[in-house]
Amino acid sequence: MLQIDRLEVAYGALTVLRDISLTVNNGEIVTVIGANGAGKSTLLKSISGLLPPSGGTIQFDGKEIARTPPHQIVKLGVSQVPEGRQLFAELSVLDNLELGAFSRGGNAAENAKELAHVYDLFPILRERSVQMAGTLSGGEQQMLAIGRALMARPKLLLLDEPSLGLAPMVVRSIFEIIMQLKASDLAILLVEQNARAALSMADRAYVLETGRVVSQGLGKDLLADPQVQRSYLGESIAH
Amino acid sequence: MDVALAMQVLFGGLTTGGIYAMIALGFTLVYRSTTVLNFAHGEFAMMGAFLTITGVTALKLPVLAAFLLAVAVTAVVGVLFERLAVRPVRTQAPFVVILLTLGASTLFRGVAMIIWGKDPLTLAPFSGSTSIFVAGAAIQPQVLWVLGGAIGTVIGLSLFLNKTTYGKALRACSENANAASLVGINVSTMVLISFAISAGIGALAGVLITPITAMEFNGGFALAMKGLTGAIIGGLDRVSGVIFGALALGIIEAFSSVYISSLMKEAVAFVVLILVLMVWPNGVLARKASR
Amino acid sequence: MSGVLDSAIVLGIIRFLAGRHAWMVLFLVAAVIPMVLLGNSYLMSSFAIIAIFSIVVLSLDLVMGYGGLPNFGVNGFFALGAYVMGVLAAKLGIPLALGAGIAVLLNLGVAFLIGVATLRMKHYYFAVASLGLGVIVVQVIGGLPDQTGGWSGLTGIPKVSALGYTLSSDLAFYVVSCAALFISLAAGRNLVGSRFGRAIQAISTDELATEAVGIFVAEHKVKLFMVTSVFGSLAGSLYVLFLRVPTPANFDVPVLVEMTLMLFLGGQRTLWGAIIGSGVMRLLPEVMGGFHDFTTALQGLTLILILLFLPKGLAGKAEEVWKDRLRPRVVVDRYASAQARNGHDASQRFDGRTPGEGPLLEATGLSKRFGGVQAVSELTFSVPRRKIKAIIGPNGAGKTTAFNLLTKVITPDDGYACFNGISLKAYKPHEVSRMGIVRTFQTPRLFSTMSALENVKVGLHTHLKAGIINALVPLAATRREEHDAEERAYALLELTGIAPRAATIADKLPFGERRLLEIARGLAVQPSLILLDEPAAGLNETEKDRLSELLLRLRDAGLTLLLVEHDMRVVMNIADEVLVMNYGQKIADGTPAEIQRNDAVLKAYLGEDTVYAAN
Repeated sequence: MLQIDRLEVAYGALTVLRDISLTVNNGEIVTVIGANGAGKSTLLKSISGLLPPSGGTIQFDGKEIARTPPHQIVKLGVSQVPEGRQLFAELSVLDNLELGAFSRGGNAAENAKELAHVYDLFPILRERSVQMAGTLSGGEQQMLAIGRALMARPKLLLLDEPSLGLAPMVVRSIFEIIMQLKASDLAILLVEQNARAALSMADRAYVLETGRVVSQGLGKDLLADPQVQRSYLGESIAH
Repeated sequence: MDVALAMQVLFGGLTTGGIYAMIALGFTLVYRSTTVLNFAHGEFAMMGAFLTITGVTALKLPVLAAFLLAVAVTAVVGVLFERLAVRPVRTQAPFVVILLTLGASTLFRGVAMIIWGKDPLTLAPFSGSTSIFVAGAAIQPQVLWVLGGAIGTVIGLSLFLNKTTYGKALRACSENANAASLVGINVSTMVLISFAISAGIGALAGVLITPITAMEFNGGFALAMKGLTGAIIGGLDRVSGVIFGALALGIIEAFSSVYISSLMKEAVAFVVLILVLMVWPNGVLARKASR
Repeated sequence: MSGVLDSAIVLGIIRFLAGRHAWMVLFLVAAVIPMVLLGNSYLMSSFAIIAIFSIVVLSLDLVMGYGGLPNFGVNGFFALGAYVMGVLAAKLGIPLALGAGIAVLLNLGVAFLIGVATLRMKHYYFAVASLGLGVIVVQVIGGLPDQTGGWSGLTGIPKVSALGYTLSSDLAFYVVSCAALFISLAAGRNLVGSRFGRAIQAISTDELATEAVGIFVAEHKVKLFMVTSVFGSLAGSLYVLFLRVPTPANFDVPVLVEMTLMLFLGGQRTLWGAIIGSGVMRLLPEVMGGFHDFTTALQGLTLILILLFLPKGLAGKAEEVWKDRLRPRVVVDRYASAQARNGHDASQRFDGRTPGEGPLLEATGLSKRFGGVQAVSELTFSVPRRKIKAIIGPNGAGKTTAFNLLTKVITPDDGYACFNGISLKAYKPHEVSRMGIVRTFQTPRLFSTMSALENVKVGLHTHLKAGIINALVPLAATRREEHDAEERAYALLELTGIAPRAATIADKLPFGERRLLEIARGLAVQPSLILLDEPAAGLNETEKDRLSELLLRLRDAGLTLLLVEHDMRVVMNIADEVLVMNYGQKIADGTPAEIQRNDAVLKAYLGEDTVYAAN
């Protein structure tokens, strides 16, 4: 479904990603883990079109999207839940969700169906529907961000650090929802710092270190791999 | 204090304040979607007025038709201006953008001077010139047109921004352009729309005020300075703040020119502006820090 | 092409132009040409106006170009200079020179007040408020017909006469104006190259980084206003002598717009662009002759085209060609030769200001909330003298916030830090820097338009003395100080290993060298403690090794280092102590070996064991 080949991304003089190749298949959860500054968020931004790559290719459903603007990539079926949620804080919860469906045009019946689906997934959002998004708690905001992305009916969902800044209890429920989404046959590319949780959820995983893929494999294999710990805490780890 | 005179002055102030508010809303609309302060915005008012006059006198159109045509043409000019000039410099330092729009303002004025000359032109009042008396104050019917136009603009714009999908998308863009593009909103289209609406409202303001004050090629710039001052006093990024600031400015100007001195009327606006900004650096009703 | 450029004659010309005083010769030649061509014809009046406008545009360049402040109020200073002197002379018979002096004093006062009043305003707000200043001055002049003649103009200003000679011909005016312009240009050039000039250029590119080297930004902005007001005032006084019957319209907003256009057409940040811009703008209508009506439209179009296609302006473009292609053909590296002569000692110590033992920095209960997020919570730790301490932790753990709290860029909600036993509670960011704490930033924040050497010289700011007067008229002591500063800066570039890049514009340095330059600039402040925010981010392995080696060398020279870093190899190799943060709190503090064995740390980095099975 998603095929990335030898991707290279730079911010001005600073090259952040080098020679990244990665695939996501239908209905799979793939996770990208790695320490801070490894380039995980950059990777998602270049897939969603916010940060056009300086080299390599990104194909979605066989179509090259490396130079496609973000609003068209959404139409193709890739939705990103950005790091830090990035909600429209001064719009209501309902407005945020409706704007999530913007790319699909104005079919009211379709949108209502999708909205009902999101509300079923996140009942708390229904209660909060007239509240301004900025007044929600961190966990609720994360749910709204996921709900907003789902409103576009994506085939592939990009999740950028959904656990960031959330209390452990809330993280747990967010992860449970991600597992539910997977059950509904949505492909998910998950970027996470909480490596153990991410690996235990994922079918396959890639480990990023300073802009390069240093290892990849099945989630459960990497979970036991000392290399993963090393890439977080340095070479000389005593264990 | 003479009540009738005070009423008269108040209506005068509301009239200019209403026009300032319409101009100010145009500033805000573009500012919120692009963070660009368009110093050529006043020229849209001038264009609207001159194009309507041409429509009425040269093309013999009815006022309404000429006016609609003028608003449409001005909106198109606004769109072209955004695409050709503003977009290439949008990401540069704020004052490069200021200068670019100042240059555009000069260009528009220069072209208007070539086409329409240096003398003020005027339009016949839309509903005659028989004054109406309210609480002892004589009100021209055109004043009601201005007030109606201003109120209509505010209501229309609020409905658009709060009730329609495109209006909400516009607000989403001004709040977070990246997130807006991630839900499939084409941000650059939204910017174009905001320029078109802004130019259209500007043109409307110019047409409505012309039967009262006449219009000259420099007239738009003067209006823009006042509209902008009003907008900044209220807080640039908030619709209610902008309207409050513009109306307050119109009323303060009207009273100061009667009760203090009319010679320095133009200075009053800026004295108020500087005093307000010293206390509230982002305007009275601003919601967030300026960029 | 290069054959022509390398011919002896061309090289000779380039060598002459690269000399220190070439601009004076060029100026005199350019100034004489119109006199020779036109004699005492009416056209000389246009040239006199060009010279006078050039002075104002030059001051606009100082404030907008070099200072980066969108100050549209210069026409206010210009008008005050004209009218204060004019009214005093015409109505009260006060001598012109005295009147001009009074105008300068008044302008200085206005500039000070406006400077202070507009300090808190940002960009657009500042631009519009300063535009308002000009409008207010002009409107008040127009609104006081009894005193100023109002909108119809002020009459009765006497002609200038000195030593029995009365200044009246256009040619004489041109000569006087040119002399004034010459002095202004010299003063402007001195200012830009001075300690003050460097500070304002630094402020215009990055206020936060400027404060981080101990420069008080507000003070410099207000002083810059005051300097430009003097230029504007004197030009106004000169202009009014030429006009004889000034009207407020001579100083109104359209004039301001024209001057702004002159600045950008000529090229900002060049000074001499002011003359080019004024010349083109003022001669254009003369050349256009019968097409006067097109002037306004043409001016607007020109400004748009310049901004779109030649953003550096005519002079700016010329300087670029000069610096990139011509001058390199003859210039030798004068920094290196200066160094060879004097051999400044690069092996300085960094603990001279804070001798003693025990922790150099102690943070107690630092806390900060942003909205609903507790970014830093009850953070207590200490940094031992002459050691390297690293702060690590996952994204969003609060590490950079901790830096901002220590340097007072943000104020803690609770808690405080003590440096060398002194509480930092009451200090502002630039004062923290002056006490001996400097920092670098996650993405290097250099003064991008200045050379590497100049960047370091900005860091030396607080250790130099020259004030504005010394800047405008540098005497021997100031020049010696500058020379000395240059050598000290060069020595720091050598210490960090980037001396060969001394003359390179910071923007054009490769990423790794930008990091080193930022450290060199910080060292120029002569700190006892340096805070480094992710110094290894974005570096390749070789560069990381170079960096580690440098940091160890600095520690051995007595410097105390506190760094936030993600690269564990770097941290584990060089740090003496490691502090681990998560969710804004300290979760561990100890030697690298202890940290690597700590269960809480592993959990923070790798997450808790979870119940989700991949299915």
